[in-house]
Amino acid sequence: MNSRSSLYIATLVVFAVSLSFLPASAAGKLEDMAAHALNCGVSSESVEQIRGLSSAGASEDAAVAVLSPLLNACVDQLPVSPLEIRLSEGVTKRVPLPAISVALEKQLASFRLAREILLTTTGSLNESALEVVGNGVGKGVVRSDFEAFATEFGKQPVEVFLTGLTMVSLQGQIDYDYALTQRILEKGIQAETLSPDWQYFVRVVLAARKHGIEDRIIADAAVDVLDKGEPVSSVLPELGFTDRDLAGGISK
Amino acid sequence: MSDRNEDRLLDAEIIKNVRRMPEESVPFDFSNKVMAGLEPKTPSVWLRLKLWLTGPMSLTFTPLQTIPALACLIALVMLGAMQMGGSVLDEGVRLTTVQFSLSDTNKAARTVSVIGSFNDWKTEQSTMWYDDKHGKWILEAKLPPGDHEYMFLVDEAKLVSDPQAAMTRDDGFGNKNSILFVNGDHEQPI
Repeated sequence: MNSRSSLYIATLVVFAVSLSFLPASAAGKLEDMAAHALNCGVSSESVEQIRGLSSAGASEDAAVAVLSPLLNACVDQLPVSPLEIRLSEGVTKRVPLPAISVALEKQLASFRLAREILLTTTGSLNESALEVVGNGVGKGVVRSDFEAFATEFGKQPVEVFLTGLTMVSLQGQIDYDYALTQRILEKGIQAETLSPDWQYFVRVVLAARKHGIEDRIIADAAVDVLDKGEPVSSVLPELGFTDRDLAGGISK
Repeated sequence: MSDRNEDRLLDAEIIKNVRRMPEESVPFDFSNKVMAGLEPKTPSVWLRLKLWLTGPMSLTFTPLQTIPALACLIALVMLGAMQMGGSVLDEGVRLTTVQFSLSDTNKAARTVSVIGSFNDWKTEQSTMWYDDKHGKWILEAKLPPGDHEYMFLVDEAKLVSDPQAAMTRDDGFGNKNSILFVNGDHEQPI
């Protein structure tokens, strides 16, 4: 073997070795990630949906970027189902994949923040609570509201805790001052009259606001109703509304 | 005590005399004559019913004859499930019947579907039907408790928020999702 042949062989060996260090192709990456996602517990329907997008012309990298937050949520033992539903929403609404990816990463970050909030305030994790707080912070509710609530009411029974947490989330989404929500919750918990139907008290707030009633007056009425042990449907009559259907008789 | 002894003696005397009597053969057709002399006795309705209920009986039928009976049975079961209406227990979750409607007096749309978090934003089985009388698109659905996000999908392309919704939320994709609150047995009343 002359020196030139040796040089060729050496070059080929170096080339082959360097190839093995190159990142896997995007298609390979997607398949690898899909396998990991399925093993972890991401639904086959979601994985197939992403594979379908890829084979329908979306770039492999874009598909990987969409699958990645699903896999990460699963690995971190955070709720995956809300992200899967979000993926379907984006696909049905024909949202470009990069935008879906951004939305999923944002939702994943919200769940991570929710986990941190719950663990640092109550010391425990409840999946339903995690979803409520995760969805809430994702929709703009400030973390200090959840922290204040969880610190004050973290020792309450689960049902009461979840009812209150949902109220903090939904009322926070319409910028109802947490101090008012806190007053309502304190009365309901002290009087032991905060039943689960109070979690959608936000509807009362929205209906009353439409008629120009101030948030503080709505809170006063809620506190009175809770003090009397009456249901949430008594708040509007307390505010002077009649019993007629304010939704215009249309059920949705 | 003495009366009893006298009775026993009398019984013994009668038995003795009977045994001493000469034997004669039974007249011909004696049994039939005796039976003919008795009045026929009809059992009461209750006795006949009891006999019918407790007596063994057998039914014979062909496989073909069972088809109508099975069809009736299935129809009854389905009817029963439908009669349960708005409160159906499905794997422990209480479902509530809610109605979506979108006004369209001139029937400008060709098709309208309700897509939302409750059906994974899928258009399958969420197509609304047009109510000519009221000029609106209608769909009834059974939903679990929760705050559900949804939109109307018009002509499979245009996304429309529900103008009747109590609350809307930015979907992060440039649209407003409508919010529906379902609380146990009913849509949350206010």
